Amino acid sequence: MTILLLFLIGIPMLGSLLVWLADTIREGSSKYIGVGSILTVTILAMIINIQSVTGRIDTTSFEIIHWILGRSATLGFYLSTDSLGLFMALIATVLGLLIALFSFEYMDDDEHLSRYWFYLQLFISGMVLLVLAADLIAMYIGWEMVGLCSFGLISHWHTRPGVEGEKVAKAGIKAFVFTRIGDIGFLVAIVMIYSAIGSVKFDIIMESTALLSSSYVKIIAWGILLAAFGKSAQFPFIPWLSSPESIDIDAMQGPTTVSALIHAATMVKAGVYLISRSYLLFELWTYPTFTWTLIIVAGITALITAISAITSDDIKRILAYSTISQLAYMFLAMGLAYTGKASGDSHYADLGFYAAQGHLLSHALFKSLLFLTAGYVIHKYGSRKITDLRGILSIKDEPVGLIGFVIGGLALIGLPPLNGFFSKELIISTAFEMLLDGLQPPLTLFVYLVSFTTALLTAIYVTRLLFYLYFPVEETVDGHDHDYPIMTAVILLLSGLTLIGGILVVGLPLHFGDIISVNYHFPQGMGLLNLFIILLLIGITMYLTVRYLRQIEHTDRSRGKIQQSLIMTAEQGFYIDHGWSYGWKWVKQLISFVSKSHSGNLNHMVMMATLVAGTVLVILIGGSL
Amino acid sequence: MDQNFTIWLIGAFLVFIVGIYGLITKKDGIKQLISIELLVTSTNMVFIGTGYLFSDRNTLMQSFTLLSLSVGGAIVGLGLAILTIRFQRLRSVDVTEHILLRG
Repeated sequence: MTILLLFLIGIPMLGSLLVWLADTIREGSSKYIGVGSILTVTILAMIINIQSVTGRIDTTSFEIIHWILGRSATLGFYLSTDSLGLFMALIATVLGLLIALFSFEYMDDDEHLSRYWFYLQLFISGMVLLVLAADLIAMYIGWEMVGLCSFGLISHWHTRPGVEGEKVAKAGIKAFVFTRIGDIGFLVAIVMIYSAIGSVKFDIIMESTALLSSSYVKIIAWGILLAAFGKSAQFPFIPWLSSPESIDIDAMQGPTTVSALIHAATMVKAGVYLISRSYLLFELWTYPTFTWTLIIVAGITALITAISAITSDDIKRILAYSTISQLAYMFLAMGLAYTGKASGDSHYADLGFYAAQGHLLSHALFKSLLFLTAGYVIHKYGSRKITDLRGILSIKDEPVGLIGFVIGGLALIGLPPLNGFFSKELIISTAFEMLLDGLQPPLTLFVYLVSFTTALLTAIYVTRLLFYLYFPVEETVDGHDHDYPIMTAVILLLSGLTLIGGILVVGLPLHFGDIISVNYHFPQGMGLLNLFIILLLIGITMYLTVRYLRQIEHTDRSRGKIQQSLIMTAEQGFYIDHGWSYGWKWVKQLISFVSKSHSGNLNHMVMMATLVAGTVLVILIGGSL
Repeated sequence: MDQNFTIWLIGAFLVFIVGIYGLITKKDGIKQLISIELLVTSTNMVFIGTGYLFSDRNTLMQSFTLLSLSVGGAIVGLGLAILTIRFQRLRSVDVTEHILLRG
């Protein structure tokens, strides 16, 4: 089993190194290695999962290597096969395989194909390491690896000439720097845990949570919150994943397959995974500010990114804002789990955890479906703006795009019987039931209202997207007449998975048998009424959106000043990105004097060195003289 | 400790100060090299003084001083090589000219 786990991480890494070799032997053969290695890893992950579910694995922590052997400190490298890790590993590998197959054709005419496949396989390796790690250092290594590969993949087209290439390069750096700020939090948390408990292994941490005094818990909680928010692009770290039209430097500068894999299906879920893992490891609910911050920040993010999606004109931008909004849903669900644990109610805690993982699964499916279909459409019709792509989806001319967008879009809204319905209603119903039961009313009320409102806002922007893409106008663009068999197959496969995905969400407690003890139950009584009202309101919202859009098509819209400024704010992403740019200019001003003292003059350098050395000597020895 | 040793140590410190002064003030490359050699000399003086302290027990510090002298020679050799190449390229040994490491 240790060997199998090592292969799970090592094979993509080996594949990423072999890419260079393959490219020198035969031009363009790197994609075969890429797909081959990811296919192998997917099969391995499924085998390990089946073995784990049928109970053939007795221990869950496997030591790979004993790393630092000191007298007072030892650090090892451990991998685990517990249900949470295997769940995420399966999602990462299966979606990685589908997206790798898609990029077989999508990236076919790219000139730097080997670099793409190098980073892609390294990413899969890092992601699997992140989720399967059984100690914090291995998890941190995986965390950094996916951050690095995200940087490499976003700036894949930095060789484009002129301003275009510069924007792409800046986008990659922006993504890396923003997540780096979160990494500081993670590192602080790891150091605090090590200094309090003396080990970073998960099983030792789980046994000795009593050793964490309340001040330690506070620092660890803030560190983990910072890391999760940074990686999953919640407020205020939104700009690296999606920025307003006027700035346009964000993770969507990368190829659409990269957006599907990294920024919809896997890497941004690492923040949710960190919070889920912390739910199992520590008892962070004893620090109520943690739960409050988690829920409030996630709620704010859900609302403002949904509003920004309504006013965006670029398909990828809409989908990026939508991803951030749905990630906030997962954070809200984990917040419910923490609230349940804080009130001592393990039923609701389990439900919250189940809801978060369920939404993670269904979001991974339908969001990657949406991104891949968007990539297919962008590739075929050559534009990213929905105003250019009006009316391209029709049963006759573009059935694949129609199926992909409609199924993905309706799943995103949360209509039955698609998988999005099951996971979203789980979150909203859990919040509603907790509210009725009187658990921490301000928090649960907030979660309920936010998830309710965001569902309606989601309905608005998805309907707007489908409206623009479906209803034809006179000048509908024509696409290339190529045949894309593999891309079509992947989109249809993902659509099928999304259609039957409800079964996966409902059956999830079987997988998480060792962590949660609830089962899926369809809401009854007041919950059923609540569900019915929500579905009705979503339907009404969709109808009103279509009617409004039809109306403004024919009439000349003259908006009031307030309406105009509101739309402007939403369009500019609520000025978060501008805030970061302004802050960066201010920081540069502050440190400019340090920059000026670096004159390169040898005399100045020696003088400064002498001053510093003299000061240190005086401080150290002066006391005893 | 010994009176003699203290005086010797103060002497080494004075030489050290002169060397630092030369590094800070002089802008000629060769003068800076001389200052660096003065710093090395001061540490050699410290080694010799320590050898005087332990001269009745062993001759360890004498070996150490020989080692330090050879290292000092290597330092000067390297410094002269750098200055020679710089003079060949830029026709000047002034350290305040041709600065590329500007921050």
